[in-house]
Amino acid sequence: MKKRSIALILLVLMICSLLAGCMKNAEAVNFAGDIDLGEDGVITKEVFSQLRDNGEIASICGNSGEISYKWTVPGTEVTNPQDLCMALTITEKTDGSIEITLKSDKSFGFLPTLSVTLKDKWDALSASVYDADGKKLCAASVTGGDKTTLSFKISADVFSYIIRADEAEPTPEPSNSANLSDGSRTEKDKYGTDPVPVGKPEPVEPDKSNVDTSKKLHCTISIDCATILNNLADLDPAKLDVLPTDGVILNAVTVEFSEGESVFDVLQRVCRENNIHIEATFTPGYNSAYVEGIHNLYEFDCGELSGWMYSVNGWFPNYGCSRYALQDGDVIRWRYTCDLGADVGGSMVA
Amino acid sequence: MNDAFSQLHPAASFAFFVAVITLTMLYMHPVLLIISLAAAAGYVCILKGARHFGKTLIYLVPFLIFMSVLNALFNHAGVTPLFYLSNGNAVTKEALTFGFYASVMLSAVILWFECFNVVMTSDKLLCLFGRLSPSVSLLLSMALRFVPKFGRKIRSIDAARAQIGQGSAQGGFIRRVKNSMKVLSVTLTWALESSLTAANSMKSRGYGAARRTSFSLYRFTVRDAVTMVLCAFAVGVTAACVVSGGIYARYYPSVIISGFGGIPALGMAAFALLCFLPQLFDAKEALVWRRLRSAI
Repeated sequence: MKKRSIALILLVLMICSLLAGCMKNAEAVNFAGDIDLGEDGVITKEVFSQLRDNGEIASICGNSGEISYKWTVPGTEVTNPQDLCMALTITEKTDGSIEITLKSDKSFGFLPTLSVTLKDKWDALSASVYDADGKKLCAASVTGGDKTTLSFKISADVFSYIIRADEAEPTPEPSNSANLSDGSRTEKDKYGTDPVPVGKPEPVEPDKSNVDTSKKLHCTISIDCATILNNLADLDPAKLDVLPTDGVILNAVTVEFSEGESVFDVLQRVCRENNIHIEATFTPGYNSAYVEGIHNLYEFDCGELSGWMYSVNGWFPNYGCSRYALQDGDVIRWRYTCDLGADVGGSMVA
Repeated sequence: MNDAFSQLHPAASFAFFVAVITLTMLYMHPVLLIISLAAAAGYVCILKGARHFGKTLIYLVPFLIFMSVLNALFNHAGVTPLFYLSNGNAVTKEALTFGFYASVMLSAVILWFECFNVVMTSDKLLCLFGRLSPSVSLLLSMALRFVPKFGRKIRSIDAARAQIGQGSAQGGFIRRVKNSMKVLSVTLTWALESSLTAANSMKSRGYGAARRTSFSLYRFTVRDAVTMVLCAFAVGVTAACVVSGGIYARYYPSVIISGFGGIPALGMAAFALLCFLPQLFDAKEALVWRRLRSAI
């Protein structure tokens, strides 16, 4: 009898402590939907107050000629609601750069993310945002298939921006240890990998690669999910809480790695060091880890064609990230796609 | 067992169990789950006694812990990592919390089904569904009858064999296994034979000659109607609170659970009314009994 009552008390205590630990007054963030900029491009104070009070994220859409744009405004960042003209003038210059001018000269008081969708495809992997004086402000995420979308978070008190494509970084010279494809393999290998394009590295099985911790090399890694900003309506509403409003989870950083390490090794280490959540499972059928989610954004969270993909030096390998042996100077980009890779430049349907 | 609720018309009891089990399984809100678990535990105590519930706890509590740990080991979503596994994935607070409440839900449902089995006896089920399909209900009644019937037969065979020193509890381990197998074999032979005799006997009494009727002593009274209306009302209020977003629980990526404003409290009260309906019924009966007794 005594034991039973103790067990009961313990159970009740456990329930109470769990309840107390989980009770939060925080409200979940919602997506308010698309708001169209009218003729005058003014969003009223009432709209902003509503976004702020409901803690909603809104997409505010407009267009300048054939170029359309979208502001991603997180209501939680709006501190002082006021009437704001959010219209833009966007022109494509002859040298290929994009000039963006805000019609208003009033500071917003918060820093929304601006996504500009051009009328055709822009041939660049990455781009940078400059102010009128030519000073670099930040990087812009390049997404989209037929029509390129450039996303970046605007800076305080800057009313004119110029976006220029970054000069393509030269692909690092492959070291002698690299096993590049010469096109001799025409069949699938035993893990179902199609022939690797000529000149690209062949997969290296993680259980056969020798990690030489004495040789320290460097690579660059970045993680972004800018494609979600254009597909907010498809995103699982529960994930709006963790969505970075500018779509950048990790800005490009240069990290050290040991010779023989794979893309997955580096990703896992970088995420741990930067306290970024990651979930991956090892898939024996492909002999590689499969990255299910980064920063709590999982595959299928933004439509059924969504998930994480990686590219190295601009190429999306056709094998898993545990089988890609890194070379010195490699540039790794982890990108969230909402369209099987077509919106990040890694479509498998060539 | 002295339970007024199980004296209700089968339709009322059935509606109650369907409502309470469905709501428990649908809405993963901690408060609703704990209300449901507490009510189910209380009702099991009334129906089967506190001693039986104590025995149930012995496997229910480890199961609660096991389930939350299991979920956390296989699900790594959530913003609060507690520690990392050797494969690099994190065990998160959210996964633990979700696993815990999922197991609370499962235990509540298990307890409710224990109550269901006591309250909804086979004759009540037959009374409810006998008219829908006579052949299925006959099959059901015969099949349900087999379980206690075989149990009795096995015990009597074993008792008879024990008299000649061949009981299932006599001798060494191997002897006991052999004796038990023998008892089972005798039961099986008997079962085959009895099914043949049952079939012959039914045929000779004209089974299948005409449409069969079923007999039951249950009458649908005002009390049953009130119970069903109460159930429907409670389900409606709770569902309205959940649909309107008043009662809200989310576990991934961060745990967000709605507070106790006016609307959620209303829904929780309605759900509590539903779950504790049997106890309220018993309390009412006890009060009436006391009043009647004191009037003597």
